Amino acid sequence: MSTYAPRHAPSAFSTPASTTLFRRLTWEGTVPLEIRVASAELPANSDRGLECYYIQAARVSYLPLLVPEIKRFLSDVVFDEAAAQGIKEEDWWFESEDGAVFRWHWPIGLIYDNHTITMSTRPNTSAAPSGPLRLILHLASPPSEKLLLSPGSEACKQAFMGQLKEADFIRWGNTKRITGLRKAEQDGLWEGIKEHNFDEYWRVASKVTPTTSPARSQSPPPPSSVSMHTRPPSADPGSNGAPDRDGAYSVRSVPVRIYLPDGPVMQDLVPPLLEDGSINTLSRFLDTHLPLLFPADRAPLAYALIQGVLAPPEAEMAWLGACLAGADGWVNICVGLLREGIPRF
Amino acid sequence: MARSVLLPHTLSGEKATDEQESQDEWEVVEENDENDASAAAPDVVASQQHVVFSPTFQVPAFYFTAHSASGAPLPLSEIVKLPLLRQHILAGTHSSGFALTAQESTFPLLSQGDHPVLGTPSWYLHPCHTAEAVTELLSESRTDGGSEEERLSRWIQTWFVILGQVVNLHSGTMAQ
Repeated sequence: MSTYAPRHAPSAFSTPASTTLFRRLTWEGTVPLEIRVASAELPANSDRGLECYYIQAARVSYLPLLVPEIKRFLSDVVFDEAAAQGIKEEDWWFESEDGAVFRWHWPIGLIYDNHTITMSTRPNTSAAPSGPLRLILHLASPPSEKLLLSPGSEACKQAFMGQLKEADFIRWGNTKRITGLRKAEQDGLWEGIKEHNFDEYWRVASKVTPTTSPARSQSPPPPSSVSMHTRPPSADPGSNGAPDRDGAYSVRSVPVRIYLPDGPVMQDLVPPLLEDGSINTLSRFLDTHLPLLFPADRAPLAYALIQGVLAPPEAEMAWLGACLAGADGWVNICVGLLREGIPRF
Repeated sequence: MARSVLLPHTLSGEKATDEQESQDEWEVVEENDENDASAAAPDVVASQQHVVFSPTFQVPAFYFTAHSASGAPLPLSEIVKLPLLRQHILAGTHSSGFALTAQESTFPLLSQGDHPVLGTPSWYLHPCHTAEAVTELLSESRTDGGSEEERLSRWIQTWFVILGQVVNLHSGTMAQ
C-alpha cells in the first residue's frame, strides 16, 4: 500500500480511493422490481397481458421518482386513450403480494431489503429466492392509515432532506454542514438522485459526509488493497487542515437504524468508539442491541443486510457510516432470520 | 404517553358523530355548543396524541393524528384550523401541503413522519429546538439540586410548558 493519499498519512485502513469505490458501489446498487397493476383496477380496454413492467431500480432512489416512467409505459402500452387521460398518479400506491403497503419516503433499497427480511420469517419461503420484488400498483384510494399523505416528488424531496439533516445532527450535534450549503447545492443533492448522477450527488455530499481517516491505534489492515488511480481526498471546507476534524471517527454517533421483520425500527446512539476505546464494530453493536439474536458466545440466529449485502461482523460502524450509508446519510441494517444457519434471500 | 382527544371543528355540511377511540384514557364528553344555529352541526375530529422520545434529537417530541368523523385523515389545510395549534405560531409559516415551515428554519415546524414506535404516519412538531428552550427556561428558574428524579420531573414539566406555547393542550375533550 503505497502513498495514495498525498495529504493524509497513508492509511492502513482505508484510502480515499477505496472509500470512493464503496460509495460508487453503493450508488450503483440496483434491485429488480416487477410492477403490476392490480387486475381489478385495470381500466376497460386495457391490453392485459402487458400490464407488468420491470425496472432495475437504483437502491438510492424512491418510488415517486419511478412514477413518471411507469405512467408513460401504461399510457403508451397498456391503457387506451380514455384511461390514459384519466390517470391520477397522486392516487397511486404500491402494495406487496401479502398486503404490506410500500412507503414513499423509504429508499428503494431499504424497501427491498426490508421485504427480504420479512420473508425470512415466513415459514414457506424457498421459492424465488431472489426474483424481482413484486409490487402491485393500485390506481386509487390510497390507505391513509398506512401511508403519508402527498406521495409526490416534492414531499419525497423534503423527507429526503429531513433525513439528511437528521443524519448531520446525529453525527455532529448540529446541522451546520447541511444548512451551510447554498440552496443550489442542497437542491443538487436531490437532483443527483433524480438524475442518478454519482458525480453530481457526491460533489455536494463529499462536503458533508464524514471522511474515512486513520482510526486511532488498533485498526486492522484492509481486507484487500485497491489499486485504483489516485483520487484526491474529499474537500473538507470546515476542516482547517486537521485531517480528523470531519473524520468518520470524530462523529458523536453514526446514523444507524435497525429494521426487524414485520416491523419495529430501532434507533439508538452509535458511537464510533466505545467507552473502553475500542472500535465499535457491527458485531459489538448487534450483540448489544439484539442480544437474543446475536448472542455473544454462540452462533447467531440472524443475519444483517446492509445495502443488500451480508455485512461482515467485523465491519466498523464508523466505516459503514462513511462508505456504505444510503444517499440520505443513514446506514440501514435489515436483520433477518437464519434458517438452518443459512440466510434465505 | 398517549391520549385520545375529541376536537370541535366545523367542516361544512357534516354532522357530528360520536366516534370514540378506545385508549386507556379519560372520558369527558363536552358538547361544542358554539352559537351556530345553522344547519351544519359542528363536526368532531378525533386526535390521537403521543409524546415520544426522539432518538435522533434525544428529547421528547409531540406526535399526533387527526381524523374526521368519517375516518379520513385531515389534510394540513384543515389541521391548521383546529384549536389544537396556537394561532400565533402559525403566523409566518408557509404551508406546502405536506409540511408547515417557518421562514429560515432548517426543519419544518410541523410535518409528517413515521411514528417512532407505531410506525404509522403521524404529524409531529419538530423537536430540534426543544432541548435548548428547556435548558434556557430551566436556567432561569434557578431551581437546582434535588434527586435525579426531581431533576427529570422538572425537565419534563418545563418541556410541557414549552409545548404548551405551540399546542393548546387543553383544547377539546378527552375520549375514553
